[in-house]
Amino acid sequence: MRVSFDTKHFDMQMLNFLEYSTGFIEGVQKGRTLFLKHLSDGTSEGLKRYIDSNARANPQALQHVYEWYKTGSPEARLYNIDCKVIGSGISIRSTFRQSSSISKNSTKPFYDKARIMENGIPISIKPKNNSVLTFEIDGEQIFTKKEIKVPFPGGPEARGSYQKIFDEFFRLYFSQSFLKASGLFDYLENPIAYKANLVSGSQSGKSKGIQTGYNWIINAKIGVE
Amino acid sequence: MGKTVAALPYPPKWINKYIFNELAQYDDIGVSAVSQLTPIFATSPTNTEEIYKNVVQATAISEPLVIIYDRLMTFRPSVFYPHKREQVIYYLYSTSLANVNNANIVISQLLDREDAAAQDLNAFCAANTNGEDFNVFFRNVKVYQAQEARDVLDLASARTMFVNKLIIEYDYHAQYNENSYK
Repeated sequence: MRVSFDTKHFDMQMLNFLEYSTGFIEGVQKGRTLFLKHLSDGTSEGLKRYIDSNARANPQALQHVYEWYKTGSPEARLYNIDCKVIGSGISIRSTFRQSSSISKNSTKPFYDKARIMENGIPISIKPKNNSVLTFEIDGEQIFTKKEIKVPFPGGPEARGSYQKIFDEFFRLYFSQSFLKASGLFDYLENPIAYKANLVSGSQSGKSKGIQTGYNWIINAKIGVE
Repeated sequence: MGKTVAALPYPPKWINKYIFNELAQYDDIGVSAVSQLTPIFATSPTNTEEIYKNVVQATAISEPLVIIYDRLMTFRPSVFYPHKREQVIYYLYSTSLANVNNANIVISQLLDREDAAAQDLNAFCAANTNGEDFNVFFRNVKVYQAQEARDVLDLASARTMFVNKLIIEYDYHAQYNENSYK
């Protein structure tokens, strides 16, 4: 009895399979920038919503980063979140905007409101041209010719609270909850596309690997609605 | 008969009911079981001190617990759209630090048990509908401690309020009826 094996076909399949796997990694590398862009967009959106929700539930702490009387409203934000893809990852930067609304105790917008209140910078208010200052405290109208010193504009809770919520998002919420809840963590941990295309990959080789890897990584998104 | 929005599936309503029922069973949290007022409020423009004063009056508890909540995130964890995932942020307020800490312990232990917590929550809601249609089915519940330390808030009335927050995450699907959208 004689048994013969044709290893030529097997060798070819194995070679294609290796090429498919290498191609998959190359495809992932190729789609990396687009993936980081999606990640940065999702993170930026998540961070804004996190700040807004916290502001609505704890307005004393975060009212200074919104226009007057609109705490937690996305349209009234006095902060910008700028997420950018840089060479090795994502850079996230926040800056403050000028307020354009006017408090009921004032006639002009509070200049640099968010920054001054966030940093707890004391301010003094003087009446102009020997006139009087007037403002309301707990429903009572106050008139004075004296200079008013405000040690904590926005209240003591405002000082550093934006920085704190920003840090909290990345230090605790982002890794503990956000990545997992959004489904991104599970998606990256389990590359189903690689397995699903294995058979065609072992026939087509590298080109199929590159295409599969690229499509898989660019479809990895944070599913915030 | 006209439709009412209250009849649509809204998970926080059921979670709040469950949390209130549990907290009210403890004597050392500052939640009254006999008062008609549920001290869990959605965010509103009313300031926290005003809400707190009203709860003190309504419950006759000098240092009650007040919870203010807001929907934090909605996620789409899979392509199967009926499966929904949401997170709600809960701020716990009280002039008593012990009440804030105790409520935190109870809520975390009650709800941070994934599918077991969801089963208990479903059973509670089904048994306590008070004539409403229980139209949500919880699949999983988790609790995250978003803050490491308690914050202190100085109120205009010169009282000190202690604040802590929790994030409750739940997976659910709506149980469809004639009121809901399919």
